[in-house]
Amino acid sequence: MRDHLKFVAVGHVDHGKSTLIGRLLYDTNSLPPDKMDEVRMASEENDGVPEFAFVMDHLEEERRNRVTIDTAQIFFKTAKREYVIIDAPGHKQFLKNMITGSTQAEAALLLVAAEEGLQEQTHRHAYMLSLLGIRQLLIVINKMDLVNYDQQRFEQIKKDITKRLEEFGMEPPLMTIPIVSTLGENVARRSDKMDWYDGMTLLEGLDQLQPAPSAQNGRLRFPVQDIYELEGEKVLVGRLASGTLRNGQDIMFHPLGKTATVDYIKVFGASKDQAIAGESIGIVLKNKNAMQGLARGEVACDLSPSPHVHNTIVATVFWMNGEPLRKDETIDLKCATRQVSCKVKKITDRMNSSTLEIIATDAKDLHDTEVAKLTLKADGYVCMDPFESVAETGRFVLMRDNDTVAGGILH
Amino acid sequence: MTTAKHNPKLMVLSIDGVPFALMRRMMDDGVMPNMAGLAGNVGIRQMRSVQPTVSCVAWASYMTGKNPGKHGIYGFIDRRTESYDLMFPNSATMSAENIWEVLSRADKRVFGMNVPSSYPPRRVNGILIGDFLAPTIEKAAYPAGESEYLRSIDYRIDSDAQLARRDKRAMLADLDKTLDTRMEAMFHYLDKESWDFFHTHIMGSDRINHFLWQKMEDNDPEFAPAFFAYYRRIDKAIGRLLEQLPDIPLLIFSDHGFCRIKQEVQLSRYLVETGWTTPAQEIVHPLSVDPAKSKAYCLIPGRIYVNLLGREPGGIVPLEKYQQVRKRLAEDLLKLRDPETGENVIKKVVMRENVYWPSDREKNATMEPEQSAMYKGTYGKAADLIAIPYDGYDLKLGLAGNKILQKTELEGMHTYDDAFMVARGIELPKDDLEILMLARPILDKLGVEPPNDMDGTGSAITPRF
Amino acid sequence: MDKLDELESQSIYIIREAYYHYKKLAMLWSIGKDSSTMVWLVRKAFFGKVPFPALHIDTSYKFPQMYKFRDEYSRKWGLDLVITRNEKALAAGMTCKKKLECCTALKTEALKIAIAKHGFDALLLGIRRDEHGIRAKERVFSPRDEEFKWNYQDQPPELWDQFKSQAEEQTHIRVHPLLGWTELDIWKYIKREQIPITELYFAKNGKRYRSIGCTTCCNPVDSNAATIDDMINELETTTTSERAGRAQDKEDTYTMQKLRALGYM
Repeated sequence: MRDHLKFVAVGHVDHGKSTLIGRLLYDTNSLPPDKMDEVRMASEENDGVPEFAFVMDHLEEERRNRVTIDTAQIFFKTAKREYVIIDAPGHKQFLKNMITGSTQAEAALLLVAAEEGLQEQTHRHAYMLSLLGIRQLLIVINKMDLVNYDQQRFEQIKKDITKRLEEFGMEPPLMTIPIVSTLGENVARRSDKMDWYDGMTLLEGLDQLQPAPSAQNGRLRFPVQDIYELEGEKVLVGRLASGTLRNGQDIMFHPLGKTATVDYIKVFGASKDQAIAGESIGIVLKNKNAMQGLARGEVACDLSPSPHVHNTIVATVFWMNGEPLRKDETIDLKCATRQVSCKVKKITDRMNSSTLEIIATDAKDLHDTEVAKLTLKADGYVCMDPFESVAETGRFVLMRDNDTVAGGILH
Repeated sequence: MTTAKHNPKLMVLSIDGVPFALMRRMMDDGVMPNMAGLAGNVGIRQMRSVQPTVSCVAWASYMTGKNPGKHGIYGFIDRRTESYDLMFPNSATMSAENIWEVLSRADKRVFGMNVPSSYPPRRVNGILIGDFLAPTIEKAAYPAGESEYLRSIDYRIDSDAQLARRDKRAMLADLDKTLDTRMEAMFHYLDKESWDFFHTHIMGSDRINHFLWQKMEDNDPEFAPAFFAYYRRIDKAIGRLLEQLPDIPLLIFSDHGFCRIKQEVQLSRYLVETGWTTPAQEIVHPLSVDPAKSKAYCLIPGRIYVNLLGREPGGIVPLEKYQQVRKRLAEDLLKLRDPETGENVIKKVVMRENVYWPSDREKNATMEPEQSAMYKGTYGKAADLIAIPYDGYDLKLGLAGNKILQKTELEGMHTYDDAFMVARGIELPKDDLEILMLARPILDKLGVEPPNDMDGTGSAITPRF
Repeated sequence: MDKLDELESQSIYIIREAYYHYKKLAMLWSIGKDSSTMVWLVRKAFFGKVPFPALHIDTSYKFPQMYKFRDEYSRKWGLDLVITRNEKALAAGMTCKKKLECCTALKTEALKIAIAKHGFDALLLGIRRDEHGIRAKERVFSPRDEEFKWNYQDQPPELWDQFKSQAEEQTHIRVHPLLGWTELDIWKYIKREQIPITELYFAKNGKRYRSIGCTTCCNPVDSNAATIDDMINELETTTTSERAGRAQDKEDTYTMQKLRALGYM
């Protein structure tokens, strides 16, 4: 079992997500002692119920408005491992930041309040999570006290969500847990008001999550980040995205289409004859001529199977900017270290991401929080893979003036 | 009279400071019939404690399965690194994993309540409620939210020790109340879910032994029955426990024994009188010494430190003289006699390398004195000498004051040899048993690989004293 | 790869990415454990030959051990050391009677002076997310405008290691390679790599400095951690926030009373 795991906490702002996070930190003793005291003191003014939301809201405006604006990374520990919560806020207008938060996670916690049940935001979150390849999901149904701990209500919401997730092509959640975050019931402490529930507490459930599978057994993908000249030697630097690289290995650069042999792997202060996915390394090639034509953006791959090299890219894109995307617009695409300029040829199946309602099959534009299948014609070639095979080369961003305005996945 | 909703896989109920002989007597005399029934089936045996014989050290050794040289809890009081200031060791300063943590990592559900050296509570897969050193219930509880339940039943972290000195009757009522809420919490948590490992500790026995031992031995008409009534109360809870959990592996034991106090011995004072320690101008605490004029000083109980040059911040004894100084100190300590009876006070003085071992040594390999003296890390915090008293002579600190031997309201003191052990459904090493040997068989029983630097490998490592 | 390997690799990636986009890069070196760890990572990223300067903001009130450490290691590591001070303010006798004013004058202004003088367009800083509330909202690449204000409401989204990497004119980009590291990670890494660290961090007389800066404003905390192992053990078992002191005294009083009543004192 690995020692740490990142998950995103997603849910409508009024469904008690901040309180839940505060409770998780408080119960696992992950708050500094002065903060622990602060929580207890604040609770005295709140009928003895600890008030947690304020722990999370660092920014001054948020303290007044009780709304989290941005994602933050929050750390806590259980006996088993360290966790990083990526707290994605729940308001519509902050969806772009929420998406940003989701993308670094290995699992997601989806929070729904028992009284309100599914809302527009919940659907959007669930769909986005599925799009972004988040496969492990814990569903938490909060505020069970406000529905009198009713089992029927719990089962109904559980059924509704599971059905929704199925419609999005997502796997059923790992578990669905009834909780009361303000009182801490079924968060760390087992509730004695819900005897009908014999599943795990949230903390136990989190400890059941599996870390993301290792990319080191996948196909070789080394995107060149830069080229350094050191003592007359040219070194390709970058982070191995997938697979394993060995000294003496034969590789092929794409989109250049050139083969070469690895002379040795260069790392400061150590000698290595092998590198695995995730490591930042340098590579020195056997032949000086081999360096010709190589630049940032090239991807070193196994000789076979050869990757896809695209000039026309057809991918699912979610738009995240107030200024809509227009057909025929020229926009920058960045995949791993490769950047190209693209023309938007087609916007197909423009979709409302929460209802999945198709707004237009052949659209002229794409608005904030909407999803579509884009056909992009690039001014060069890009080495890409289906997202399920190699995540790093299967996803990309679109940029306007170096501002990220959309994220996309190749299927 | 109901069986439990769920059964833990292994249960421990520990009763602090109950000596083997007393337990035997209480079982024979019908004070603890449920214990008698249990021991009748599975037997009762003696178990050794730890040096020095205090609860925090004993329980730290139990919960880590290691000798103090590896876990770093050498007493209730210790020194801050690089200083002559005091600090109070606890779970935060203990340098090893405890059994709840080891089990948590293996996905076992664990529960611990009131076990000395468990405060502040570390993160576990379950619930840990810290011991009597916790200042508040909130600070004692992991997860923190458990404090809400504990407050609701008026849970007592500890009985009031100051009360014990003033008014023994009030102390008894307080002990009862503390025991009752402890047992209430225990049964509540037992019921809540299926635990793999469940350990509750009773501390009141140590209290009552400290303050009423003499009255018990002397058959005081009021306090002797009151003494046994307390143990009867414990036995009743044990009865209920046995009924709820008739079959599961179970250990009931203590961490050390007890005996009557003849005298309390202010050992620091003795070191002053024999010229080893020079107190500072102003004595504000037990370590207010003048380092420039002190070759040695001590902490409670019987932990003697050499003021070693290059190791202590104001050290004056050079390394070449270390062993010689220790030998002379030992000689002086062994000379101390009780003026009333003429008896020797100190039974034995042991060198630290003969009773503690650090993490990276073979368990029975002994170091050369100079090597031991300068050892860094957890082992290095140990006293250079441990003075082991004869039964009846309770070693204290007491730098101020001018008497070496005195009596207070304390009537009982700890003994090393004679803790008791009753074990059902679990295999323990057959012969010599010391408290640090228990973690391993418990982990084995629960199917968890013990950390490989645990000391309890099936035979005792500490020599007999 | 364990957690430290992942963090190390991610940080090296970020550092190399910053260098690719910003040729006028500098790293802020406060001689503290975090920025020294970052310098170590920068050295790894460039195979020992760091192609941009290390910038030390000198308030003149730093601990003498820090100056010694800085001079020794900038030499050993072959760093291009640039020291910046707000000479005007120091000449006018600025001290931290008013803390905010002093930090602004001696630190922030000194930094502005250096940026103006050398034309740095981006800075590497060793800030971690778990340090402070505000920090938790930082992005890995964060633009600052000329007045160093940070419009935290309108932050650029980050998606999958694609960092925003172009600033408007008149701004500089701040890059935070250590954002994903906790204090414990830093110490574990220091131990693993045997990174030299100033002795101020280690306990003397029951106290140590948990964060170091100016002698005037930095206060030690109670601790017995005299070695890195002790430090790691202490951090693993306590939850004190880094810049706050520990209210141990209150608890110690309680413990003493209790032990006294029980006859242990």
